[in-house]
Amino acid sequence: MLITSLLMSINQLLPVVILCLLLNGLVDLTRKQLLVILGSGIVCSFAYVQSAAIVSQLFEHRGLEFTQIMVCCIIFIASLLACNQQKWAASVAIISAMVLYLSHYIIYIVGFWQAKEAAEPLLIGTLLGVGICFSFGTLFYFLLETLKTHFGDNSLHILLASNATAKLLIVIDLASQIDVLDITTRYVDWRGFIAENSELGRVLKALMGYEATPSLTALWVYTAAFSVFVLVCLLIGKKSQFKETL
Amino acid sequence: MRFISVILLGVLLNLVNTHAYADGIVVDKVYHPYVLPFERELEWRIVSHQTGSGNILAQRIGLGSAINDTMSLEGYIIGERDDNGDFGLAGYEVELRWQLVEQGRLWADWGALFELEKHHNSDVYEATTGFLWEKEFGKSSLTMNAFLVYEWGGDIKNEWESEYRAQYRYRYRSEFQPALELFVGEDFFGVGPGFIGLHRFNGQRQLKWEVGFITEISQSEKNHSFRLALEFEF
Repeated sequence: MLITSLLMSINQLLPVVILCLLLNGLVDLTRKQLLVILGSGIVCSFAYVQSAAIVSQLFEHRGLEFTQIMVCCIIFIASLLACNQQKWAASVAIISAMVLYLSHYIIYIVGFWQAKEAAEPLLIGTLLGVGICFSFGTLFYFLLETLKTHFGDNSLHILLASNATAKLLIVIDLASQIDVLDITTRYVDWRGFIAENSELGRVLKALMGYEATPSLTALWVYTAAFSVFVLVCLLIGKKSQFKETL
Repeated sequence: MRFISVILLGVLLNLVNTHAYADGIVVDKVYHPYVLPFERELEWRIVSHQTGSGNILAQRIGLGSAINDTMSLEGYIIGERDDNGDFGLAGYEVELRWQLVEQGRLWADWGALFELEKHHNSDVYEATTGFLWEKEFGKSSLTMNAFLVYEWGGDIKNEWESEYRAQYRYRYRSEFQPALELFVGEDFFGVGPGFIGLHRFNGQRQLKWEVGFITEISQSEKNHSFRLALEFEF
């Protein structure tokens, strides 16, 4: 239970921490703004969990999947807009990511909290997970600052592109679950290279959606979406620089 | 003169429509009848079409530019997943959009669309022509497209087809506009929700996005489509 809680908290919190730091590195949110965004994210996550029973009945009982697909698309688009210093877009992306990941986590905590023997390992596992995410977040923050200083915003754009595009892989999985899309049976096997459940595998999954056995469909969608994201970011940046020069 | 030519085109479409509807993937983009002067655009679309017999997954990337104040030319490369699960080049397309009337000048706005598509590695061509129509009602907009399609080539039976697309959207905020979409083609009558958004940057640059889920409702067998489109104008 302890290990499960630890892994669950890392899996669900780390992607939020990474996206939050990436966006903060690009749009320079103030501490107050960040707190408001995080608070709103928590409230929205609870609201989503509360309404899950009603939402799940929509669209022929595929409402939850459809809303999560929508949330993933919103994260992708809002992250793209945040490349142009749009604070509201960064806020939307962070809140949406919190709704996507924290809702699972809240359901997990609420589900096991009332079990007598589960409460203690749940609490310890969660605290450990939060601690690990906090430590990783601190290191990642300084890494991003270093990258920004040496290579400029474009390095963050590329990291954000890989992170935001990873949300489209979730769309593919969800669409496959509700029979809107068929993932090909052909897979690429990278388990010998980096295992998905290794430390590095988990970090890469949270950072850029790494999967040890991705389908060819996922790879093609990822490649196309990543290219479009980077290209649009570059076009926005190019025009802004041109304007500054003038 | 432009208006009359579009009316004639509409009449022609209706005449042909009594005998022909389009096959293939009907779910695609609903076009708006506007062209921005000097616009250049980069576009990416992905469509998944799931039926009882299988899944078609297609992506297209396009690059276009306005050639004058009212016309825009765009080229696409289309990628599709084959039976082995591999993605590959499926075709190329050239598209000309023509804004026929100045926005807001008439009761509704009109445009025309001309497309020419060639399938990769097969002797299949497809020419599409049609009109684009849009009317705003307060905070709502209704957009309709009617297309006449002619397919020909050595690897396909020559035939005329037609397609209709419609989109009703509520312009709640420019970034979030819930919509209801309708697509009609051969043995296909699909309807479903979607959302559309637009963000304007400095100058003429803007990013548009569209997401939609379309379900076929005229037949009992499974037929769902998911589409996502991203368009950057600069």
